[in-house]
Amino acid sequence: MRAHPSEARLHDHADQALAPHEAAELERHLAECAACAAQVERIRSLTTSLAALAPGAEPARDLWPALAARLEAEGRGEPARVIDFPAHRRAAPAAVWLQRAAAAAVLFVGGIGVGRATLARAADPSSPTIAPIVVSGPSGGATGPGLTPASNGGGTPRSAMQAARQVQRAGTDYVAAVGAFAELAPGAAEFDVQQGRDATLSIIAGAAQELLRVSPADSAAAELLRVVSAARAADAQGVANEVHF
Amino acid sequence: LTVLSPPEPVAASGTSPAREDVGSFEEVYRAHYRRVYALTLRMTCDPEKAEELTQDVFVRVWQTLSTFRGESALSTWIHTVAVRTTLQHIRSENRREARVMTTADLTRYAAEARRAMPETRIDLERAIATLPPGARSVLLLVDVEGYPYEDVARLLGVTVGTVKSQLHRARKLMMEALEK
Repeated sequence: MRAHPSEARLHDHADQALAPHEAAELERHLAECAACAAQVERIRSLTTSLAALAPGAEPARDLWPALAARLEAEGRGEPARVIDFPAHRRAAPAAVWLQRAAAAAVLFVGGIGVGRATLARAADPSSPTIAPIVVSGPSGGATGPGLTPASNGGGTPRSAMQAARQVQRAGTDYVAAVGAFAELAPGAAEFDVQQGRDATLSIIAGAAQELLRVSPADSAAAELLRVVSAARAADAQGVANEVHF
Repeated sequence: LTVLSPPEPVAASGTSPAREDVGSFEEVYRAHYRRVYALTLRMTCDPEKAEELTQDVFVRVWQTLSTFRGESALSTWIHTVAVRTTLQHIRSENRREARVMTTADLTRYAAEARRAMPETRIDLERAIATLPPGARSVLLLVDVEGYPYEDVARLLGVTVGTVKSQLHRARKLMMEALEK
């Protein structure tokens, strides 16, 4: 009789995970070795029993009422597509970083104090929600050259990509607002549009790098970093370009 | 330039859109909660924690339902969310303290398993509960839930070889416990 196969090999055989020629060889051993044959049988018996365990269980109480209340309180929100939030909704460090970056960028737009600009608060004053900002032209519509309404997708970012887009929108708004201000307010030339764009791109690049540090396989973050890096390189060479993501 | 904030949406019926959404989500919950609770109960061996995690799973499903593309069955997708959520919890628990299952814990768990799953084999459930957490997770995912080694390796962030060695260790411990 040949040497006994390893325990791992017996498990693999019980799981039908061996190649056909390996399985055939092991079967020849089992035909001669009662101990190994019995061990394979024990493993098979165990795995068959485990697979047949009850698939469902009934909680001691109906969890739905408490769950429904929680869902109503938390709202649907955007999915955490890039950053996977852990249980109990504690935000991952990268998500917190991005939310802060987005908040900082939105406040940055508000902070330049263009005309009667104010940073609107959400209906609930206790809420930390970043309210959407709509930049409108003199006629009340968002008609100014290059003005981009940021009402879509405003609010507290719930995913890294949403946060990054909010940063990007804030940057776009900043550039548009400074451009309009320069037109309307003589002597406003000291506002440096490129400087605002640089700051925005830097924030987004940092966000993407942080995402990649946490999730190296995140293709969205890699793409984000690629696009922003290309934009910064083009800026450095004085080549006109637009950032889209 | 003026900066305006958009009006808050108001539901004409007096019922908020969120409340109506939640109502329709109940059907999803009712169809899947038993399987999710069974998983969280076996993985944690703690009935209260399992209830809490079951709720966490459905909160996450609720928040990410729009990303479900129908490429797999909804039940499969929900189950994957349940596995990820529970594993994250176990990992965070392990970081905080090495939880040791006491005899009292085991008795309490067995009583809950008997009540919650009357048709199950309690000797097996008890033996699973006595496994070290890592080996227990692998055994549950491979032998009870039927995940391939590769998927379990990805979920746990380990190699397939590690999954297999943990699995073989878990089975050995199970066989020893059942033969006592």
